[in-house]
Amino acid sequence: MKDIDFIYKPTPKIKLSGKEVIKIINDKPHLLLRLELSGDYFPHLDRPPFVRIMYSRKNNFELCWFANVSDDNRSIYAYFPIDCKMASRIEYGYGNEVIGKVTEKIAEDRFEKLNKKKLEKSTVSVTQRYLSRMMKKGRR
Amino acid sequence: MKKLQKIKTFELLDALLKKRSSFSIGESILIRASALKASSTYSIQIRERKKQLLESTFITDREGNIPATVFWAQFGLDDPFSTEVFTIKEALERWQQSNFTVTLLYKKEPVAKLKFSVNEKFEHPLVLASDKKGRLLNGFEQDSKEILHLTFAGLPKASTFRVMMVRRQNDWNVRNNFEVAEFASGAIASQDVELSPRRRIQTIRFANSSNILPGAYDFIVRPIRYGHEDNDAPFVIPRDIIASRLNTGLVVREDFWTAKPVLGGCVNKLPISGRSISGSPYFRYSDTFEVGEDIYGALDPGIVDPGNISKMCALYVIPSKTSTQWNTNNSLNHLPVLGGNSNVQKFKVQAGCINMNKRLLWSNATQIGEYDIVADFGNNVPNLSSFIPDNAYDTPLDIIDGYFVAGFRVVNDPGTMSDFTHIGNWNYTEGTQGTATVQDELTHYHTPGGFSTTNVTVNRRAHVYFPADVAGVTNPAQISTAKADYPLIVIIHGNGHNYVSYDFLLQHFAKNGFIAASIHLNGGMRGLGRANMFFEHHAILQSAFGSNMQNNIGIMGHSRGGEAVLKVARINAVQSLGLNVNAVIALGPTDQYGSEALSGGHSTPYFVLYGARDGDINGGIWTPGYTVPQTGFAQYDRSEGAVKSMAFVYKATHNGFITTNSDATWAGENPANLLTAAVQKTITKAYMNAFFRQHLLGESIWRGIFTGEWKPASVEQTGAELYIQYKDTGGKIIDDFEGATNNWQLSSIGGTVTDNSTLPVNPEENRFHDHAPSSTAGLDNRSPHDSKGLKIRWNNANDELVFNIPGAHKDVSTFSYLSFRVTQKEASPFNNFNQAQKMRVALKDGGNKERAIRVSTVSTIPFPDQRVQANYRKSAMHTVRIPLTSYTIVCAGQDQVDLSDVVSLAFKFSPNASGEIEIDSVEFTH
Repeated sequence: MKDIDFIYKPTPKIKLSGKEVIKIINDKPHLLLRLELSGDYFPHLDRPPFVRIMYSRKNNFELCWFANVSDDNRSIYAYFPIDCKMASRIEYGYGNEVIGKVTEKIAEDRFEKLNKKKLEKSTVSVTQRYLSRMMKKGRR
Repeated sequence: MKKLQKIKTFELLDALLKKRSSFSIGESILIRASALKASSTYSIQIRERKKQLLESTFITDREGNIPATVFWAQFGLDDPFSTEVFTIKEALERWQQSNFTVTLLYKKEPVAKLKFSVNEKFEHPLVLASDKKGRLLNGFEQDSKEILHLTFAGLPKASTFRVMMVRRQNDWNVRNNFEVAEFASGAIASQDVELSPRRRIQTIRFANSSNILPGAYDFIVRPIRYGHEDNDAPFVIPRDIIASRLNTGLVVREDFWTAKPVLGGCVNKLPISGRSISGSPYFRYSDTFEVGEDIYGALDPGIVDPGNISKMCALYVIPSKTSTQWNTNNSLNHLPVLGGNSNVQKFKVQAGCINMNKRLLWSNATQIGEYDIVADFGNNVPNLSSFIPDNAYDTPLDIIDGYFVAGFRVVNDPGTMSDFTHIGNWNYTEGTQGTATVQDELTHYHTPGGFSTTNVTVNRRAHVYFPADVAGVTNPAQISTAKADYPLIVIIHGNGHNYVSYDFLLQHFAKNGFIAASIHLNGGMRGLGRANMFFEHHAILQSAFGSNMQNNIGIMGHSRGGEAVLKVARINAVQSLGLNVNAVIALGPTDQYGSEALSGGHSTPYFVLYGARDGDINGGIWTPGYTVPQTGFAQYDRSEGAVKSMAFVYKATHNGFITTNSDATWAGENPANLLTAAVQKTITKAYMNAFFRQHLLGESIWRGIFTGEWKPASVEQTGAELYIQYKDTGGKIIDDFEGATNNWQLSSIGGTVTDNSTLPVNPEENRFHDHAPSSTAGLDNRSPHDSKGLKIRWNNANDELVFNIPGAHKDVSTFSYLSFRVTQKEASPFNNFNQAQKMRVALKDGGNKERAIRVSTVSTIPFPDQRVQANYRKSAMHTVRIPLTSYTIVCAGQDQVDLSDVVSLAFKFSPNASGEIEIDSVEFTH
């Protein structure tokens, strides 16, 4: 049989990029690191999406503070403290279920950084220390 | 003051619908009132001390409310009594000491009063389209040499602002998506500008008029906060400044004379009727309304007589007139149900322009019929006290929604109507009806009859619905006694589908007076097996319903079922089975089992419904022998001998018409960019019911849906884009390009065809698509058509292609329409991206009288749907039908063509300077 277009759905190659952004949280601007995963279709589910940076295969990872699926379902945006370290394995999923991974390591200095001198004075820099204080206060 | 009744509310509001007693210069002032007399005309006056500035009339809705309506679009920037416009500074000086009184009147008697004053501070930031000096410039013609500036006042703290010009919509709210417009140069119409909040008023240059494409626009101004993620959000965010929330920010008009429906003529035809919708864009033009709907009107005119700007106008809603009636009498009689001529609404159009913001025209329209709307400018003055409408449609000043075709219609909606309150449901399975073993094709094939057979055993299962007199009926013997008998509709599903998924459609058909059944087929069955199962089930249904079931059958097939229905018609005819199959519908049909078509002895009225983003039957070629894409387009083209039509629905899928858009993801589509399944099902119900009612119940009222003249209201409300092909028998073909030799200079009727040396390349006549290894490559490897046609390219607005009509064919006076199929060529660099193409069609008679009608008067030539898989995008033709009365109706400044003596038909490619299209089926028809 000739002229068949061989169309298949390969395993999607997820692209990873990152940049510092300001996001209004609790009515204040917060400086965060935003990782974007794109290259597949990400549905909007009742279960929340997540991204985590795996430092080892077991329980040593940095879980994003929160994550959103873009309106057009093309990306997951995950928000981390600005001083978190990258690793060569990043996993993503919904609820407690990992559905995919990225195994390309991106060095922190490749992320787009903001000029701190230009930020509004009231900007809160979200660091790992800031986040753990928030967790202790019970403010997720 | 004589009180008519206790008024519940009479309020002045701002654009955010907040009640106010003072307004800043440039703000929109709205009025709202309730507990008035229902469906009545009230007038509202604004006086500055004793001087009347502005008066408009409004009608109340069925509950006696005047909904929030813009009354003074840009307060203070113009003097409503004259046509003077001011800068912001001049306006502040002019009005700062003024106090205003707003009076609500009924039959000239005041019933309520309010006062308001000027707020010298800017309550909200102000952004205006202006000239260099900061005076209002709400509209201009594209090549007018104007330079668009924007003037700002009352800005918030920020230094950088992103100014974005976006397509207009009738309101804006946070999270509304927007798309930044493109300039004619292709650049995005967005600028980041440095503005100082310390300067109270400032003006920047934005664009030359020649670089802005005709259209209506708003401006969104976004204060940029460094690093903020939402700086790039493609939707309205809380800190955005909307220049013109409820009135148009800017209208760029086409050249007045070249943009008329009749080239050089004086008829100014524009859409006016529409409906208010609860979400973005908050108003949508529409020509079709369900019985009982509220009908609104708005004006965003692309072409304006310069004399109309900032003037009073009166809006008449009249029964639609025929060309004969217009030719003999241009008087206007406002509908009696709306109060007659003494109650026409009068108001002033927006300063510096002609926009009429959305206002209620007819509440609870229950009178079925066709209507025109005329904006009568009367004695052409800017204030009500001296305004005299003349109750007549006068060109060129007055604007009409109608004239060539009806402006709008009020009609039952085939997607929602029902004749029966109750329906019965009878489901059967193999437990009572056993199984059937039928012959099927072994695999897909091209040549008719060229298949191996296999036998398939199928459980006889079906869901059946029928009209009933009471609820809970399950026995066919209890079918409603309202009629002696009922037509039958049978649905044949496709592969991977389930016969029970069609219940919503069966129920709708039953409520409309049909016995409707959906039959079960095994997974993997091809076309012949499905067709053979139809006959098995017909026998069961005949036995069950007896004489209550007419021998008057409609069949609908989905996917492989869509091809099986053609086999049913053919087998029935060839084997003389005696069934009256009177209507055939194919939904996303396959074309892979022997090149079926409805023709010859089994010609049958035929309708194809197909989605442009079909992820299953996507337009590929996979069966040896087929040389055109295997879709319903090819089957439609091959079918002849009876009326046929096809609806090609942009952004619709294979399964969304029945279940979900699941097939879309196979094709890489983002579901967010598709019509929802709910919208597609609305289309399914409306179009299929209308088709079966027309051909099984003999109701000709639905014909206009399938000629493309109008869409059911329930479909129009969705905003779905769909394009119709239509062909009836009995037309006079001028050229169908099916000759043995591909000679573009000779038409099918033996007339010469010439471009008068205008076109940059010769038109090409050939098969549209001829997949290798055929001898010729075809005109276009993106065409889905199994047909020959003509490809034309032009590079000058004066280019043309003329079909000379031989003397034996010159009398076309017995026909009603000039018809042809047309498409923009997909991926052509000569068409403007994502824009409709424009052209005119001219007829000339033996006395050298010629008239050219703009295609956009009655139809459009849309840009091809851009599905993700580019190789499956289609140069899909649809039918343009121009009423021949357009060539004879009175149009000041233009000759009337003698239709008994037509010597040529010409395609004139103005006003766009370039384009590439494909055409076919040029004919005069009914």
